[in-house]
Amino acid sequence: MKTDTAAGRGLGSLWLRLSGLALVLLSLALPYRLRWRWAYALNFILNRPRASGALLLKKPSQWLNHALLGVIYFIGIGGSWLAARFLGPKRGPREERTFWRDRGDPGGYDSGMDDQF
Amino acid sequence: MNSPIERRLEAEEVIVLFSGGCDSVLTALRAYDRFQKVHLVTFLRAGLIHTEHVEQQVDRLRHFQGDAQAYTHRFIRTDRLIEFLLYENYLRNLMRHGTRLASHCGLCKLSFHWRTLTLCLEQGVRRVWDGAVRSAKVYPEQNETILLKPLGELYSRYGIRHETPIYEEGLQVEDELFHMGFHKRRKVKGTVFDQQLVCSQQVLFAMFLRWFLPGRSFAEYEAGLAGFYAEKINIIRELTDEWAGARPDRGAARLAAMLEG
Amino acid sequence: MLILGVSFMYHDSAAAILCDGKVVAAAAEERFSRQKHSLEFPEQSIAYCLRECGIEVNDLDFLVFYEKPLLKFERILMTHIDSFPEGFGQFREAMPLWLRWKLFIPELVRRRLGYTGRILFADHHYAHAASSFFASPFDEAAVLTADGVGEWTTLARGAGRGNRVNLTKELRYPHSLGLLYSAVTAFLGFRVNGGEGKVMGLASYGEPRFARVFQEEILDIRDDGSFRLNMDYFLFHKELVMYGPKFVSRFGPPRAPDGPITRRDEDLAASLQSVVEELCVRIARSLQRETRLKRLCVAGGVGLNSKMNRRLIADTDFKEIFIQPAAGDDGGALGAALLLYHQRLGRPRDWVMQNAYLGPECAPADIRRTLQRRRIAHEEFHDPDRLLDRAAHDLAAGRIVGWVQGRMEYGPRALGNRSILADPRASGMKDILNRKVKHREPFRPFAPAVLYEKMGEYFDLEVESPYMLLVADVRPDQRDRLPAITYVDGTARVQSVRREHNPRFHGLLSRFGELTGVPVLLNTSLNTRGQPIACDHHDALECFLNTDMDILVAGDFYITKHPGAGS
Repeated sequence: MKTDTAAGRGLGSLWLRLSGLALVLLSLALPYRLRWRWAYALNFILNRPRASGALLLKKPSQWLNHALLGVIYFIGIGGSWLAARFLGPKRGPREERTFWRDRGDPGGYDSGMDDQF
Repeated sequence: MNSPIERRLEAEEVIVLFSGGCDSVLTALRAYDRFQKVHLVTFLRAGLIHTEHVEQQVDRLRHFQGDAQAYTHRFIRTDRLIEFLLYENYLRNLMRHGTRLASHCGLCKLSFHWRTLTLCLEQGVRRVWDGAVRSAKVYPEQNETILLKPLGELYSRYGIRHETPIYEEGLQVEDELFHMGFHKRRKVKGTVFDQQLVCSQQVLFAMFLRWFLPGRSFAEYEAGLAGFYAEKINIIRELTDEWAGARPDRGAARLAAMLEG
Repeated sequence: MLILGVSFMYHDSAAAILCDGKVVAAAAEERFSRQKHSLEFPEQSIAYCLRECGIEVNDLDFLVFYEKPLLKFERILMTHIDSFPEGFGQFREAMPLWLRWKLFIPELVRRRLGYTGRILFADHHYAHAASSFFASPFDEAAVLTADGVGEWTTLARGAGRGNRVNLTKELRYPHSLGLLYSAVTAFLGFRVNGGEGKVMGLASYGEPRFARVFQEEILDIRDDGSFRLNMDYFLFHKELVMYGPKFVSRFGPPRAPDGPITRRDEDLAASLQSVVEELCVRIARSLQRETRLKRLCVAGGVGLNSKMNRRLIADTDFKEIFIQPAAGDDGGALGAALLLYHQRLGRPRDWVMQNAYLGPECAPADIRRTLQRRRIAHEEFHDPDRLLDRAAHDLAAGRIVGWVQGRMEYGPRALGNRSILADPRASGMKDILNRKVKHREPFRPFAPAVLYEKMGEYFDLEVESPYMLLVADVRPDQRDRLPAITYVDGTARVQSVRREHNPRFHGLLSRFGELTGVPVLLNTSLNTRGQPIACDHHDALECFLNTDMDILVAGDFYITKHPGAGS
């Protein structure tokens, strides 16, 4: 919304004028510091409504985020770890002559540029 | 450090009202070309936030000129001055001028100019520059009829020249800054690259315009505010005269008590 | 056929554009955004590439990304499974980014560019391989790529023939030369993905007394050069730090950033460097035996190790070597585009990288306008020979000259178009430059540019080095004549300049040679510490005004800080 009257053109609707008047009168009724604080809140709500909500929810959403990630990690990653550890093939000690791995058939590679995988 | 920048210097100092925005940045860049000493002054009051933007811009300016001494900079508060301008003879003014008392942007800038005036008188500086632009004429302090001309007259009453180089030359600020290389992008205003002081109370002026502008022509708007601001300037003149005259009476003490560092 | 290759997401974002298989433009995003090693979406470099081609984004036939994000994600998940439960901190930091946008590259690209065409994905190491082989003049060559890690691969080898490149073998994460180097870089207090070159420079001051520790404890090396890292020493696979407590207990406390450099630090750098060189030589020899080819193409971030590169040609049976100048991830953008064009679409090769000047140039009108608007005193030369004469005289008089000419270089080296130049004969020049211009550590060396046809007189180098990616011995009889570019171990990282690749820089070297008898100039990048190399004349002016450079030459414009100086 921002300062929609910045260009100074007529805004038309009566509602807009009356709402402007109401907010002006409210401002005029307030002492100095309180007026600025009221303006700060008004600015935030009118111009950045999502940010206003986000500011209030910042800490709770961080906690929720961490909790969710924790659940994904310990259940998802942990479950896979358990499965790999107890159900996967056992790896014994290796004595390898080389650590080079084959890179696979390049012919199969060409069609793979369509995929992110 | 030596510099290849050709400065056509006048043997004077200048105070530049500096918010960190594009307009005041260009003004500061121009001022460096012209004046021996350039003093950037950023005025603060309750509700102006992101002073770190201003500090970053000052650093950028010094870096841009390749001269760590290119600018002095200070912050000065004007809460008491603007509170005075807002609330002096409140009921009488409310009856007389109604919702014009809610034209906050103009009153705020008037308090900044008032403090600049006293700063000039304190420090013997005779030149003041600010970044007023032609495209912002709805704002009283960037409108020739409402405040710009009266401000010039107020300053000159005390032997100070107030100039608005961007306004006078009709410069396209963003283009200038882009071609000079200060900004890497053509469009900066209103983007994340626009690093300036942020006024969280500008919405009050927007509400005032929303109410006051419709149903009036722009000339009527200008005339309506000009009278209101003329009275404010009278008050400023009266108190400044008393203060500058340093008479040990009630008037001088009043302004002195309102001046902050 | 218009193909745009892009790289971003980790470090060194870039864009490169091909038109019918010829590279029209390529540039790293950091030069535009002024954020060193930028990982951001390369909006400005893409805009530049499109502008250079005179097209809109939807005129492109293809847009190709330099790696396969889902394969990379697989590696990240598998690594977390392996390191469970220790990796939660890293998981918590990384997952939101993946879930928010790294898994949605096509959507991100379309949203940011408004692009509606086809988006393809190159295998990371194939992009590296293609960036080198398809840019090289070789019809067939062995190919070696090495970096921190792509999707899974950290090092790959194979060969290229005609318009095909085939990587046959690889080493996989976490066993990575690049990450080993980065871990030691971090331990020595330098920035990862930026400070590795400093470690290479520091190595020349030390003795490799820890080499055996690396060979016997930290690495498990096979005869064919393949290796494993002993992950007990490292933490990068499960935490947000590179090295672990065992590394610290083995080598002592890590060096603090900007802390004093000790004998231990120098020796550790030397040990690492010697081990990495030996390992790569071993790998290269194995590769050469396998392929029987005499030419080698190198790419990947480890390919920026110019001392290692020198050994690849000096200590193996390879006779020729090509290292594409943007060997790191910025080069992945170019490689992805070339890979698509040749390998996937089967188009023949008819372009060879002649030089690295693929970025934007500064138009004279723009320079003139800026200088006028900023009221910067300058001279405009209309005779190029007079300009070169003047600059050569000023250089010979010991002045430090910023040099901005032509198109910007692609890759991390300044090659005479965005350079700071100085007289290599002045013994104090290295200290003056480090202290007053570059503001960097005193041990950092400076590199020379030399006329290609005179290279052999000054440097012991039998192959061309146009991209400053090979280190060579300075000939013993020349070391006293070139103190500013002769490093503590008698070597220099050389740039050989051919007339047809950069006529103006070649002309300057020639003039300087005529004046002084030495057609060699100290050539360092036009930037100060922490800043990317200058992109345009604005960046050059910023560097010029804020350092003790004496002169800036931007195009035909000559700017002097000390009026009256010069010939």
